[in-house]
Amino acid sequence: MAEGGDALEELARSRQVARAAAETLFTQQREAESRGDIRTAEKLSAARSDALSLVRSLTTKIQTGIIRPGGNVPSLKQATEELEERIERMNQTIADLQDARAVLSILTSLVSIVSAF
Amino acid sequence: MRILLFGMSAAVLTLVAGCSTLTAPDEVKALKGATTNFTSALRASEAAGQESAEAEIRGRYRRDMLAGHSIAFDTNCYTRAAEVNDNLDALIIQWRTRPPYDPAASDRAYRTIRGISPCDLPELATALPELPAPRPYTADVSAVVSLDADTLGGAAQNLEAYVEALSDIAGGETSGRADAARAELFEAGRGLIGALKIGGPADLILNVAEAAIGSIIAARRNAHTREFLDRMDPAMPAMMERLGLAARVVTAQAAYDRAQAARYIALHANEALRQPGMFVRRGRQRVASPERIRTYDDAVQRLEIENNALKSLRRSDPMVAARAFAAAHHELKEVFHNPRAHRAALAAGLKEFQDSAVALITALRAR
Repeated sequence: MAEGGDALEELARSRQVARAAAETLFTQQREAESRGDIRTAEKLSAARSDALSLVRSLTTKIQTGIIRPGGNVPSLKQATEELEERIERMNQTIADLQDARAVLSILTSLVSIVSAF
Repeated sequence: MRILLFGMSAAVLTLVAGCSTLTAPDEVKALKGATTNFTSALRASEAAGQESAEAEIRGRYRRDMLAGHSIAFDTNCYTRAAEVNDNLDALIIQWRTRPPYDPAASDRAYRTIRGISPCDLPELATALPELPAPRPYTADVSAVVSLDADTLGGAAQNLEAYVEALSDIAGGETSGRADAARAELFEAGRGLIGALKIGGPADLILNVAEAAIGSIIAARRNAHTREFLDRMDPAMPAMMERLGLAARVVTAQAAYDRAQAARYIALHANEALRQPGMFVRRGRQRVASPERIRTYDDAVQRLEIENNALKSLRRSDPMVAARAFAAAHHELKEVFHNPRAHRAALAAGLKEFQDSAVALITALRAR
């Protein structure tokens, strides 16, 4: 349990949440597209791309954490900063959307997970 | 890699040269050759049969599309790809919150990768038949050990150095340069097992490994190779299980990325192919417009790239290579304990170990 704190567990949890956020954004993007609201769809698409890029970045950190459990503490600090930056950007991207409340609540829970590192 | 392979061949040849009993009777060789040829012929014929069945299905769907019939690619590949990644995340969370890590649970979590059906034409979007699961694992994988690398590529490099050094020592290649070999093997061993925790089994293993490596001399290389293998053996299962799990996580993520891309292509093609502008009138019939043909062919081509990558990912399990490496290391250790009685096994054991190392290194580099 002691190795690398429980950072690995938190990374895995965050990855699950980020993947679920990407899927929710995808569903909303499709709904916006079918309404013909292209402007909203584009913003949701940008936020979804960012969520997927976050998923990939977390995968790299998890891989490092598994093969080098004692060597991942500095990189986790870096990961936390990266995650906060990304989430802030995603928040800004979708802040002006009327129909993004569900996504915002997912992202808020992601922030709380990340800040618990 | 070429140097490594050359080194391995040299090591094996050295061992084989000293073992006259190794030559297999010609009949056995002929039988083995015939069996191999027969097996490859069967596989080739099976693959050709499958390709021709697929081509027939593709031809039928294209004719339907040209005739203006409604057509839709399957878009479900994403769901199962997300599932295998969720399973691996759940495994990691379980391992950290309620240790110990369970290799069988890892197998179960990863096995779902084989159920990902490609986003393709409905009749082609079939799941793989269930393949045999990796060999159940009973070795102790609870030791906290780590490879001194941040990436799978780095781990592959460490492994390569380790195997090369071990092959040199075991094969007698270093008899004229014992000091260099000692230093080389020590570095390789240290690179492979980084001591991570304060105290605990990893430090102990590293310390004893260091002592063993330090004592290797060319004149008694079998005894010292044996000692070295003895020291490394307990760490190997845990190290390889970690490496295999990390590679599984990376493979499942790659499958997810491919499935995402395929789902997009399929969804957009399905929508586009339904639009009124995609049809033209030919007499009293409504057939495909040039744009519909272009859209369809383009989607098929792009899906093929994603799906081929996805199919090869869902067939691969890096854990198989990682566990085979640990098993071969263990078997090599066993035969080094009685090299006189097991001369053939010694050469075969080293060969098997080297083959499994090459397979593992290749598997890691492919991620």
